[in-house]
Amino acid sequence: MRDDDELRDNPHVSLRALQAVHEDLFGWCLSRCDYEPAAAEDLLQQTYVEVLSGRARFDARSALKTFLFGVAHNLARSRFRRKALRLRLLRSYAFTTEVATSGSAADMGDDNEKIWQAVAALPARQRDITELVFCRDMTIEQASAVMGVAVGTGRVHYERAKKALATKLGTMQDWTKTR
Amino acid sequence: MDDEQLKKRLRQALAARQTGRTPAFETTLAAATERHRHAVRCYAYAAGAAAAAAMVAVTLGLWSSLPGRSAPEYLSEQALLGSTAWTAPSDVLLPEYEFDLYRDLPVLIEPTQLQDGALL
Repeated sequence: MRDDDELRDNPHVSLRALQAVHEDLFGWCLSRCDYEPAAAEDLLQQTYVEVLSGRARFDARSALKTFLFGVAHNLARSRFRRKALRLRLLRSYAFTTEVATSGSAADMGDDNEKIWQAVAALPARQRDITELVFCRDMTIEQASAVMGVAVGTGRVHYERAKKALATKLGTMQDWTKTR
Repeated sequence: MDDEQLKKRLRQALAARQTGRTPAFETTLAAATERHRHAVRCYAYAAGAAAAAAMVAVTLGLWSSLPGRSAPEYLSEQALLGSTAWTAPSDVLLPEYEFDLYRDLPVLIEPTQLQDGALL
């Protein structure tokens, strides 16, 4: 880490370290904003503003990625709660309409979409920990820190989510084989 | 389905979901820096406005408490004794409320003639 690379109000954070987690962080912001790119970009900028201003101070007790994910998660919870809810309602309404008009999603043969719908159907914390552990390369401890829950609680959410997903996806796999 | 399979399928699903391009780091950082500077400027303006308002309030307070402005006015004995005019406090309600007791005697409505040595 170069000396001039460190942020003035956050001495434990360097621009290079920020850049290293930039893509992952954007992915997490997308997930926090229901995959709306404009909202995710705004959230990403706001996360950087918090870090640049020193309002969110990194003390190097955890990984920078965990810290930044936590900041984005909290910002999203406080600032985008209403918007995300509206978007989710819109999405669920749109999905219902689609099913009603164009038949079942299975006919479209889009396994990824079905898998994602199975994830989306999980309770919020189970969904978050699934994404963090399976898709964002985090440990359960790190994911729990991001979500602001105790490790034990995180572990319970993880186990339940895994069990529910394995059941759903297993059923889906069997169904696909019989087609 | 084991953990590895689950992980693989979820990653594929996420990749399919995340089709958008990640914005460039430099662009995002520049925008964030500008937002931060703007916020700092806003805070500075707000602090300046608050300081100016406080200064105005202090100045007004000092000005209103200047000795010449709120000094008590005492009655002048000379002026009081040298005059025969008297004004009742409630006379401010009348259009012309000052009269001289010795020159402008009020018209009394009671008769002043005596009857059998006594006033009516």
